[in-house]
This record gives sequence, structure tokens and C-alpha cells, in this order.
Amino acid sequence: MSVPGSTSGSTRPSPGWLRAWGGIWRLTAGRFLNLRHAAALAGMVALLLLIAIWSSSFHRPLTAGQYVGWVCSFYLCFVIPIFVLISGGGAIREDMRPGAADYLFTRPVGRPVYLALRYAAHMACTQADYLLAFAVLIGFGLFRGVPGMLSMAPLLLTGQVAAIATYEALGFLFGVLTSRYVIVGLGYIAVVELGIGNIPTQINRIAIARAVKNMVPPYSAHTGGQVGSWAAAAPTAAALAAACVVLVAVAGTFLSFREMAGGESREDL
Amino acid sequence: MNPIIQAENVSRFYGIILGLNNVSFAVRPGITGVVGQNGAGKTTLFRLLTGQIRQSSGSLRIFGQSPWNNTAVKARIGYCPETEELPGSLRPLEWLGGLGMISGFGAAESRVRAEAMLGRVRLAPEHWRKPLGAFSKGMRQRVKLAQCLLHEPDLVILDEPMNGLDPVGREDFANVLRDLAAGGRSVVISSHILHDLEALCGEFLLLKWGRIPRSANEALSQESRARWPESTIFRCGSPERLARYLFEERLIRGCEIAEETGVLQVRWSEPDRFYRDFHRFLLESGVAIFEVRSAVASLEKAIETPPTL
Repeated sequence: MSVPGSTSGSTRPSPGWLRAWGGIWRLTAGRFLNLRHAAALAGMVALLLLIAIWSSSFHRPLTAGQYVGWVCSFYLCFVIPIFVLISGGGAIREDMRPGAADYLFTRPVGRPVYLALRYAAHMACTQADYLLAFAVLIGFGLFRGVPGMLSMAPLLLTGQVAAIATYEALGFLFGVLTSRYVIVGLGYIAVVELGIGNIPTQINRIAIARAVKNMVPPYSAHTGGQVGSWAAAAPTAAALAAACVVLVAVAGTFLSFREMAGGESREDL
Repeated sequence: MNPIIQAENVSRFYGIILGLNNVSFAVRPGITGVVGQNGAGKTTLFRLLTGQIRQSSGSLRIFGQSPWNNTAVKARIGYCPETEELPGSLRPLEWLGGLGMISGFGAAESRVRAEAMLGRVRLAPEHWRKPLGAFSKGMRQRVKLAQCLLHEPDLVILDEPMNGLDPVGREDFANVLRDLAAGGRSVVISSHILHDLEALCGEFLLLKWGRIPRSANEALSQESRARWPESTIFRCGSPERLARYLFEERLIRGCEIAEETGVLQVRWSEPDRFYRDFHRFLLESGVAIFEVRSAVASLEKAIETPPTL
């Protein structure tokens, strides 16, 4: 370890959220851009395609309502909630482990700011991952000759983006609150998204999946909106965006009060 | 010199588990060693200093401010934790570059700093492209030190940084720390390798069961450590003859002889008299001397002393 390399003469860095964003983005993207992650993603997309082939084999010809309905109820409101919620919770929980917290939370960035930036970076990478799955599903719909597939794609994509952003934020909140975020997340999906969300009263509005369904073409028709209308989807998208902000703010507040004790005795809290 | 760290009656409890119990101390510029057995409270102290946990009671100031959730203090601290966990899928330049940017460097500057720090800790460039998960223990320690020095901290806190380093690596490490101290930085370091710590540190802080026993810390003061050892070991040709000679000179009050290994351990009655003129005494004894060393280093002695508060 050489003394001549000393840089004592150089200037001290000036911390700020913009530079911190760059650092957090690098560290997050670095975890996504590796062969192991690529293999897992390829496996997930292949499995999704197999399920799409299997489930569409019962319908000949395959109508837009049947296929988009399946994409919406299975992919957007079942696969994405489970995987994104666990992924979001895992991301922040990983940063809170002693081995990571010692390096990250000893830096000159406030914890709420760190959490918000980490959420943004992880959400962006997750969106990129699921774009591939989305492209495969749209491609399969085109291959099976589903009518109006291309025209429905933008709203479906908007629904996917909104779903990922919201479930990711919820995952971050669960991750900050407990190390058992997987159990809590699955419980939440079972009780709120699949249970309360399907009760035909106004209480079902608390379910994110219900809001996502309202954004996409066939479901907006059922709820009285215009089929494929951006105007009908916009209020729901805005409400989900607001929910993301609130969830991230609450998670950041909890994180700022949380102690990174590091010992096993604290790890289960 | 004004203290950089000032703690007054600081306690920290984890439920009913004691972390630190009513400790008061001051750390001044230079290299300060924190010593104590496992569970003595060293890591709790470091987590308090780095603002990761709050004290249950008392006052802790670093650069005159509380470190808890204080980004201004964190900007001036570099921390090298004991844990060997590193993000295994990242490469050192990626990791250091990201951490550098979080600390406030621009992208290009962060990369330059990362390369400079990896060079400074002597991690060979051929390892820079390997993922951190493939690194050996010693290489991990070097990368951990590099991340700690990345942002020019005024206070460097190192928790067991020499674990897994070979003797050459430890000496390299010590040179970096001496260089930092010479450049006006403060270093707080803990290590179980006591002789390295003794050679490196000007001041010590001894922790025992979450407390700072006053008598043991006085024994570790610079004045105490400047005193001659109370017990010395000789490896020589005839331990019995040397012991007889030292008794006749009324220099020692007791001894133990291991004739088969040629070792004599003596307890001095007048160590000052012997060490002032040791070459004459040893020549006059007529015994061939192979090795002379202190029986117990002051750090070891302080750690082994029963707690006196």
C-alpha cells in the first residue's frame, strides 16, 4: 500500500442528490447487468410464454377480450404483483443488511433521499426487465392473430408501468418495515389484491390490481369508460403515481428512524 | 489539541443486552487503538460513531456534532467495517465508483479516485476486472480500505481491518495509516493483533464488558507504556547462571527457569537500573544471550487485567 499515491491535496467531494443518484444507479444497474440475472430473466420469460401458449390453446380463435383479459388478470395482476413486490422488498432489505448498510448508510446522503433514489433506480431496472416479457406477450398475441393487438399495446404497457411502479413502492415499504417482507407481501396480495379487490363494492378500490385493470382496454369498457381511451386511464395512472409517492415517503420516513444495529438480535425486527 | 470525538456518559442497550455502559472518553488527532475482547462493545462504539445507531443515553459529539443521521458528519468520516460481505457480482471499480458518487464525486472523478485508491492499497490492476465475490480475504480487506479512503475523510474508523492480511500486507496497511495521520487525519482502529496495534497507535481506548475501566486505560497511557517492562524473558546459554548473577546484583525479585529450552523469565525489582546499563550487566554475567524480550506486552496485560472500575 503505497504512500506516494496519497491524494491529500485533492478537493473534498460535494455531496448532492444528483451525484448520489448516479452512484445508486450504477450500483443498482450493476446487479441487473450480469449473466446470472440474465439467465433468471430468460427463464421467467420462457415460462411465461409457455403458460401463454398453454392457456391460449383452449380458445380457437383467440379473441382480443380473451387474450388481453388473460394478460391483464394473470400477468399484470398476478405475476407482476408477486415478483415485483418481492423484488422491491428484497432490494431495500439487501441494503439494510450489516454488510451493505455499513458502506451505504455511512455516506453523506440522507436516508429518505437514499431510499427514494434507490427506488427510482431499482424500479427503472425492473421496468426494463419486464419490457422483455411484455414484448414477448405482445409478440405472441400478434402471432396468434389477436385483433387490435398493436393498438392495445400502448395502454397495456402503461398499465404494466403503473403496476410495477406501485408494487415496487409497496415492496420497499414492506422491506423497510420487516425482514419477513415476502410473507407479508404474499399475505397482502392474497387478502387485498385477490380478496378485497374482487368484492363488488367500493372497498375494492384499495386494490392496486383493480386500478390497473381499469386502465387497460377491455376492462375500461366494463367499467363504463371508453375502450382504449387515454383520458379514461389518466386519472387512474395519476392516482397510482400519487400512491407511489406516498408509499416511498412513508418508507423513507420509517428508514430514517431505523437503526442499523447489524447484530442478529436486531436483524429480525 | 481539541478532541475530535467527545463522549460523555454514553450508554447503549439492545433491549436487556448491554452494548456500552456509561462510557466517557475523548479521541484526539492521531491514531487511536480501540482494544477489548470479543463482546467488549467495540463494534457498538463504531456504529455509534458512524451514526448507524443512537446512544440510549449520554452525549456523543464528532467534530462538535451528533453523528446520528447527520450527513455533515458522515461526509467527514470513512468507515471500514469488520464484515467481509461485499456485493459479489460487482467489480471493484464499479463498486468504488458508485460509492464515490454517493459520497459526492462526479462520474469521471469517482473513477479516477477509485483507481487511485485501489493503487494506494496495492490491489494489483489484474484483479480490478474480477467480481468482488471471487476475491480472497486479504484482497477484500484492501478494497474495503480503498472505499473508506475514497472521499478524503478527516476521521477514518477501522474495525478489525488487518484480519486476513499477511505480515507484509499488515505493514503496508500500517504505512497507509501512518501516512494518513501524518497528513492530519485521525484514525480510530480496532484489532486483535495487539503487537501491530501497539506499534501503530499513540493512544488507546480499552473496552471491557461495555465499559472503559479507568485503571486499565491509565496503564495504556503513553507515560505508562514508556516505562520499562516489569518482566523480561531471556533465551540464553545458561539460564541458571544468569539468574544467579542477576540475584547477586539484587536486580530481580523472582524468576522461572526452563533449562531444557534455555529460557529464563525474570521479574525485576529495579528494571530502571538494569535497562540503563543492560549491556554491562549481560557482559559481566558471561552468559551467551540469544534473545531478550518483554514477557507481556502492555496491551495484552491491560486486556487480561481483571476489571477495576
